Amino acid sequence: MAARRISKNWIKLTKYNQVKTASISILKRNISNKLTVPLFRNARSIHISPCLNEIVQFNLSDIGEGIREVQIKEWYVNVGDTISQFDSLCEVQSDKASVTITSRFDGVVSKLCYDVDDIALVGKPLVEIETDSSTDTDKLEGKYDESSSSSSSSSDSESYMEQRLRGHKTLATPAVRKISKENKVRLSDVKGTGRDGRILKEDILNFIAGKQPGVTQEITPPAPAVSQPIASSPVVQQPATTPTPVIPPKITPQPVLGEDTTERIKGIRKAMVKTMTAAQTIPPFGYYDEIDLTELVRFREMIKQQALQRGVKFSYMPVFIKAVSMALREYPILNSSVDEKVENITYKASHNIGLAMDTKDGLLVPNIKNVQSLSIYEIASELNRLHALGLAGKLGTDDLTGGTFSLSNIGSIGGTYARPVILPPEVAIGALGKIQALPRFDDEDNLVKRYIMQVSWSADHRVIEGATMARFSNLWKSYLENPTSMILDLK
Amino acid sequence: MKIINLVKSSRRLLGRSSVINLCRHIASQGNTQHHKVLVSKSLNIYENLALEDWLYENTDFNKETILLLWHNSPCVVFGRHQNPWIECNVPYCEKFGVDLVRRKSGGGTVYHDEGNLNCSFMMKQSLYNRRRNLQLVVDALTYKWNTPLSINDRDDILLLDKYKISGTASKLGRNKTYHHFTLLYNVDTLRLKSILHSNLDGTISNATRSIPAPVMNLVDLVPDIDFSSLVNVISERFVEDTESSVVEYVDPADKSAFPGINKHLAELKAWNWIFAKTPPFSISRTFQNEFSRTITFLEVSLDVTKGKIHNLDLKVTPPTMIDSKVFIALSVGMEETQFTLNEISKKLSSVKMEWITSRLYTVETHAILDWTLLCIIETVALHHGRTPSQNTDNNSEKTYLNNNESQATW
Repeated sequence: MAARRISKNWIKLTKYNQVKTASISILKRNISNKLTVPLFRNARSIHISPCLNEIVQFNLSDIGEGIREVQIKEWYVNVGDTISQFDSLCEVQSDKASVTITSRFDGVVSKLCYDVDDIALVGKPLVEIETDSSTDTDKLEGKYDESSSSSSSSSDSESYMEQRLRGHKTLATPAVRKISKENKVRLSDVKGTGRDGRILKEDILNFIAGKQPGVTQEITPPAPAVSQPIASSPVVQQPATTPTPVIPPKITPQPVLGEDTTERIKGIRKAMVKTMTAAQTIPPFGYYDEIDLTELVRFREMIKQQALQRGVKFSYMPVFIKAVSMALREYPILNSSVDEKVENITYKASHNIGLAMDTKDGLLVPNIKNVQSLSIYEIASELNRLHALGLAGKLGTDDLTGGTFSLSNIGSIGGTYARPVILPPEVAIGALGKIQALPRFDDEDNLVKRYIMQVSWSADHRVIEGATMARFSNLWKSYLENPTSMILDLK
Repeated sequence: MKIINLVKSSRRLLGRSSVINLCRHIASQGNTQHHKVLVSKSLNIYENLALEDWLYENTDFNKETILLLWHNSPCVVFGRHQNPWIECNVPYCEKFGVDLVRRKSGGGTVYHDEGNLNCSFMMKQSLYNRRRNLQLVVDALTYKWNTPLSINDRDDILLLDKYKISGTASKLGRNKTYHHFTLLYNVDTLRLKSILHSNLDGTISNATRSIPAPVMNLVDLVPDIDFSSLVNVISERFVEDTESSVVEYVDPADKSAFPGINKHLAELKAWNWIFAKTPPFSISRTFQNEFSRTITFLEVSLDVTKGKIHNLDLKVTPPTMIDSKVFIALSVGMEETQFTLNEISKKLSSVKMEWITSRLYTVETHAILDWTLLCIIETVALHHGRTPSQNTDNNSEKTYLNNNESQATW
């Protein structure tokens, strides 16, 4: 009996393309155990009830005014909550209209299809509700007007659809009407105990069992066991004869994999695409070297205290930048710029050293203007300012344009050698690696600890010779390896 | 079915315009709803909105359609999903007794005073039509005073096709709806502009944003418009073509006429509804100052969820200027503080006491720590009075904060 009902419902479900929750084999196995059907979709919602549970998709109904989408503003229910028909589910907003969506079904919420602030589409599923099987699967879309069932009755010739009881329309859901129809019970004879005097399933069953006093009863014998809906006993009997085997549906559990996402390249990344594509036309050459910074490290130890008193945290970067500027004075061709057709070369007077910065928006290269006339302290404070602005995302075009030479401190993140890309219209760029303590041999063949940093220069080979770059690098290296030698050329 | 067939056959016989007239006739004949006009005697916005709510819950819209007309003493009404601190000047309103209200319908923020008429059309879902309601009012006004009014596609009523004199919002539920809108006839527009401007800067929020528009009063074109003449003109138009003609003056404070209205009133007045219902948002600001000849930047950021502060985060550049324990004490102390000036000041005072007892607040550090506290106050923008522009590289802010330092009452 149960199996026949199951198969009848089965056909109905497949016909209306419902989401199925369990295979029949599992159902049959569990029926005798008085257990419920485990649900594949949501493992949390296993609960005890004897009937075939189905998950119904409740679609967002048409709100009118040609609105096709709304924004979810607040959820009133969570997954796992038990709700009854007409409970508020959520609040949505569309163009100054705030709408409260109410549920069409009783049941347990099994899935919220959107998060707060998502855009929900009209006609698409809003929530999934696990209901009991007696819910009529005909009417899926929630409608605001419960009396709209009267308008749909024009297509239905059943006289049960619209009945009048003492001048009032009887309120009953289609599921309840079906039960009353099956059992040949007149709704007008049944007393409703639900909200607004609504007739519930229990009322019909009670009526059938002859428990309703005061209303004229038509005692109809209970219908044959086949069409008997959920009886008072909670156990569904296994049929005596083996039912026809029903092929269970193919369950394809969702594989938990990542998904490809595509997004448009915009903003700073787009600017980077443009710059780097332009940079491709420059034939670069690389020159790599390592600098012994041991002396500088010692210098820093001495200066650190003094610098803190002045409110500056002493770091190496300002020294590197100043040393670059001093070396550029000897090799001004590295501080130049070529035009597009590579016909003219302009030797720039001011050393505007750019620093590559990794901000939350992307790669930005703000520059410090006129390093040749700044002291190391001033360079440090400028660096702080640019860094702070970069963090806040507030670097102005003034800071970002006009650079003549660039440095990239990739070592602060990690790494030793790199091959930096020249930013047109500049002609050279340097990448500084990590400062590491490494073993080296000194003049007396002793193994000593030295602080080594690698530097990788790239330059435009159309105008810069390898020898020039090498000499520049050597000069820069000598300044750093002997900080005191900087005093001679410090301006 | 019959009507559709009738229309189809008549179209063939009569031609298009006649069919439209026929439809209009049929539509108006089908209007068997009882039309009722209610005018509220109260000037209190909470009572009036509670009345609107009560009517929404307790009326059988299958039987009647209601037009509720009301006006209030000065208040700011913002939409269900909006952020009051972003939409208007909250401290000013609190100081000068301008009521702050969150309504249940969506849409943007409006300023009301007695020179603003509110119309609320309440009916069942099948009759819901915003444009028709607006057109009714426009027709009524134009017929009587020949005002040059039009309706734009955002459902605003415009005067001279440019000045907004009405903002619309609506609420839809299960078979009941209301559509309400304002009508500026004699409002203090200067006050409107200054109140609907917020000093809160650096916010990131998903709350509905209002769209500002230039406004004008009906009284600028028709000097003798007032509340009672508007009520008469609009209610006449509303009840015409129907059998009923009831215009009732009601008092929302009358509990016998509206039993249970106190529940709605209490809900609308609750701090939790007005402020804590704000969708979560965050504020982030950077301040600059100079201490011991060092240029210092302080970045303050915090989240506000359900009306309480969370995740207060402070970063100072250069990092050695302020001990990190100072910031930890602040972040911990300010967590879950209610987003009101009183609560924030109290909590900041107690954090300062902590600093003093743990010797973080000393002669050397007092200047910068006091400045930090001022920056936090500045970030939440809940203090009264005007504030200068908020750019970090604006020197005037530096002097403002420096001046305030000396007057600080910490």
